[in-house]
Amino acid sequence: MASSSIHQDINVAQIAADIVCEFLEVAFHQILYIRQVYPPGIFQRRKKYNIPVQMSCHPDVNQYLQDTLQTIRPLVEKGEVEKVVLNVTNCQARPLERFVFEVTPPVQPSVNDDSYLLRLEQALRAFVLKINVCDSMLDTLPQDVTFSIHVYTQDSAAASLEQQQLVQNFPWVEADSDSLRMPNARIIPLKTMTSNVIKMQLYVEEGDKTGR
Amino acid sequence: VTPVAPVPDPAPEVAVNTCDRPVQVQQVHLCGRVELPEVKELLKEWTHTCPVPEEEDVDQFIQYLHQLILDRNLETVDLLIKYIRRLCKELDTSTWGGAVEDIISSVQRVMEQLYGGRLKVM
Amino acid sequence: GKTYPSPVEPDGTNTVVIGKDGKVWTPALKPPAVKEVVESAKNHGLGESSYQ
Repeated sequence: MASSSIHQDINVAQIAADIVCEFLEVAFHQILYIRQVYPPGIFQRRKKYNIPVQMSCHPDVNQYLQDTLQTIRPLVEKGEVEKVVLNVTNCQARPLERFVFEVTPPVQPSVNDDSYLLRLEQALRAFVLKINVCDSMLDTLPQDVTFSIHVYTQDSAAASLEQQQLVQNFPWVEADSDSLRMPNARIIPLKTMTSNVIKMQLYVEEGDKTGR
Repeated sequence: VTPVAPVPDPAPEVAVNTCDRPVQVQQVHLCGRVELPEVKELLKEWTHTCPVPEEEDVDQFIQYLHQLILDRNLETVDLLIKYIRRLCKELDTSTWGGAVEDIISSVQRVMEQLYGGRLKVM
Repeated sequence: GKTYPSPVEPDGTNTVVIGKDGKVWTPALKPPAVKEVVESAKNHGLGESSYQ
C-alpha cells in the first residue's frame, strides 16, 4: 500500500537522523579529546557502541555541541545535509585539520532486516576506533587550537535552518570563505560505511600546520 | 596448477544518482571481486604472475579505483594503494614501479578534481 | 608513464551528478574558549587534571 510505504520511508529517515546525530555527538567529543582541543581533565570515560569513548563533562562544551546537533537533526532527516565538518583551527580561525563527515541517504532505504541495528553499531564502532588511532596519521597540532563546525547543505535547506533557529535561539550564519580555505590539503581517509539506513564517509583534510 | 593472470572484464556502469527515481546500484568490483580481501588476493596474484604488467590490466585497476572514489569510498582506495605499493616493493622491478606510479598519479588527479586535495599516501 | 583518462572532465563536468550547489553554514556563536573552560572547570566539579 502506498501510504504504508511512505510511513516506512519517514520512519527510516527519522531513525537515520537519530543514529547519525548520536554518532556525530560521540565523534565530536572523541575528536576534541584525541586532538587535545580541550584538556583531558574535562573528559570522562563512557561506553558507546560497546567500546570506551571519551566525552566531555563540561556543561558549556556539551551544550554547544548539543545545540549544534539539534539544528542539524531535522536537516539530516530531510536528506538536506551533504556533509558535516569539524574544523580544528588556530586562534585566528585558520583551519589546520578538518574532520569531514559525508552523509548520504541510501539509494533504497529500508529497515526490513532486523539485524541492521547491530550491524550499524559495529560500523559506527569502527568509525570511532579509527578516530582513536588517527593521530598516528596526522602531524602534530600547535599548542593553542580551537574548533568550529561547518554544515554543507543543499540550497533548499535554508528554510529548514531558519525555522530551526527560531525554535532554538541558536543562530547560524553562512560560513565565510576564509574559514573554508585550506590550500594544499592532504586527505587521509578514515572509514566508509554503507547500510540500508545511511551511507557515511569520514576523512581528515590536513593543511599546513606551520606558520601563523 | 599454473597461476593465471586476471582476465579483463568490461568496466562497470557508472551509477548516476538523481533524487527522483531509485536506480539499480551496481557494486564497485574488480573482475567480479567486491570484498577487500578478494581484491587484495587478486592483486597479489597479478603482481606475482606478471613480471611486466599489461597496460589493459593496469587500466582496469585504475578504472576500479576511480569508481571507488566516485562511490565515496576513499578508505578502500587508500588501503589498496598502500597494498599494491608494498607488493611492488617486494618485487623490486622498474616495470611495476612505473605502473604503480601511473596508478597513484591517476588517482591523485581524480582526487584533486573531486575532493580538491590529494590523498596523503604515507 | 602513461596518463589514464579521468571520469571527471578537466572543466569540472563529469559523467556522475555531484551537487555543486549548496551553502555552508556555521553557528554564529563560537565554541567555549579553552581558557574559560579550564578556569570554570573547578566550578563544575572537574578535577585538578583539568588544568593543562
